[in-house]
Amino acid sequence: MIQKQDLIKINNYLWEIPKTFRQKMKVPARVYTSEKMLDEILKDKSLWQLVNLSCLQGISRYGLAMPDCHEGYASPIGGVAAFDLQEGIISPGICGYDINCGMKLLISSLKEEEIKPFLEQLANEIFKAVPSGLGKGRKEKFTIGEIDEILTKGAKRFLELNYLEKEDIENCEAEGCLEWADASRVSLEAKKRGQDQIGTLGSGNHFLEIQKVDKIFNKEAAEKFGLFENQVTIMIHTGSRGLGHQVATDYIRKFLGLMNKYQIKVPDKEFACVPFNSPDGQDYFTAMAAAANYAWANRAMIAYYTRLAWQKIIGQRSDLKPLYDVAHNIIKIEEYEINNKKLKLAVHRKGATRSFPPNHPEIPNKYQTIGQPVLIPGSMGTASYVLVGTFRAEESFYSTAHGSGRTMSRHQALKNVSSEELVANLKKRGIIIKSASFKGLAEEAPVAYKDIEEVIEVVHQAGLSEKVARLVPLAVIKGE
Amino acid sequence: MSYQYHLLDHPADIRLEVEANSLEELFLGAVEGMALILYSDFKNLKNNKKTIKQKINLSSLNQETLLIDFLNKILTLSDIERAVFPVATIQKLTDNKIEAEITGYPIERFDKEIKAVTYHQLKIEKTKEKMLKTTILFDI
Repeated sequence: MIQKQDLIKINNYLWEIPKTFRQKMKVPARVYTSEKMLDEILKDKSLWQLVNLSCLQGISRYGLAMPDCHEGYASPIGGVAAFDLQEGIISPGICGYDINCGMKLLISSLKEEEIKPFLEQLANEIFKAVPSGLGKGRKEKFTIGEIDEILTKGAKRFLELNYLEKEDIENCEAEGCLEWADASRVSLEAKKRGQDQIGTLGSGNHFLEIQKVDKIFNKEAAEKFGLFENQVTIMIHTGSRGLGHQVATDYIRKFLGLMNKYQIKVPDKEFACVPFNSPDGQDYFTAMAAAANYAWANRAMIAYYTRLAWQKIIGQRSDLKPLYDVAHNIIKIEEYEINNKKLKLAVHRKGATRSFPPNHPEIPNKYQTIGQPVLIPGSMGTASYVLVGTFRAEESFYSTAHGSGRTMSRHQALKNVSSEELVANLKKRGIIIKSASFKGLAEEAPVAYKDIEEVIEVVHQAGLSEKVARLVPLAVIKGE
Repeated sequence: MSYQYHLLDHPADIRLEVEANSLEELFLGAVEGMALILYSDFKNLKNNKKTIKQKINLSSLNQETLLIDFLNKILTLSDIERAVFPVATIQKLTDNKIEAEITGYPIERFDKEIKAVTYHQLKIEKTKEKMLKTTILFDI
């Protein structure tokens, strides 16, 4: 295990494990954390996994971990690694099984007091409209041909079908569609898994929340984002569902059998990888993009069903506008200056949110002067944050945290708190909870997670993204 | 059958430890253990009239990856069929090939969703008691 003395303190919010720590390290490993949070991080294997990540072929600058990092199954969750396109690898395990798991935020023009009388009804209606997918799922079952369209066009497919407004596409990472996606690189099994899961949340920490803006930290950015105090918002956290899981499973299996051919050795099988520029690497990259498109389409359709529920209960007094939609598990090609040369890198973010600064060509026109909205959810019943991307985040490949990060196993959480207690506690605080099953709810209890306030403080102080607004839950919806 | 399994702690996911007398039983124990995660009351499903049977033929790199590939295949079928498959009949099992028939039961709702069965730190080891033992990490 890694000890505190193995790390060098770079500043109050950044620590480094030097390249000399292990002979095979290609770059140093860095973790953004406060000293207090570091003590917590050292309790699991996340930094060991970060060192493993830093040993991979073609990794650039540093292997990085965010303050919400925790032990995963190859690289840590909350990890970022950027690989040289010529010398480096591409690894499905470093993107994770939930390809393009991410956040979408919808904003209303109403204040909390205006929806309060309807809150219970609204929560019920959304609960019915947006299933988890663990039960019967959606009645709509897309044909394989329709799934191919979604994989190719992402959320834009639902704009064509008039489920969305133009703004839904404009205010979304990559406009909801990675154009290099290739549906033919996605297996039939993956497509079958995706047929009835469009518009479903999934389980675990995925959720939909009705929230209110509790505090504004940056007035200028809040105004640009359309946020104001006491405003009602809706946050959606989910990804590419079974389709994305299958794409990752298929390619990790395939790459395990190819590593001999490419003479690649990895510290853990879940790092299975091939050269980025190889035909095999490109097969995965285009399949991953297709799954990412599916995820944007999924979140877009959840927004559509949420709007239907909203209109039914709240009526025409306000609609729900998209603030932004951003991934936290994805691989993208981005340009960075490395050793005074501009280089394109394959940035693998696994549990890390992109945080582009003002004037970046990849963010929507309306946010050009202020920077990209960054959406970071808290654990169940705790606050979530809207932040804004910064120039300083260049040092972390424009990446920041993605959530609270687990500190306690599911089993331990269940031992510490009962689901009944959790629900009662939320109720006491005026938070409605809608879930088909309360059995495992306590696994997601806040006690099992790091304190979101500490995570946000680290990324804010480290300059990886700046606080704009804090959102607190009014109703938590886990899906039927 | 001579196998046993139980769930172990992990900061974010679920680990399943399986111990068995033979490789075949290790596979069967892992199949049943995965069913437990997906649907804790799976034993009561065996009285269901409606069953789903599927044949699985798989090749892999070695015993260890074969076990994970086999479980992932069952997980895929579980998701597509919305069913739990706690039972497998293995017709042929070598170090890198398996031919089996799995039996499953449709359910109304999974208790938990497994994203994937991972190869993380995977080893099939012999214990002092000459049993086979492995620990499998499920991404939740």
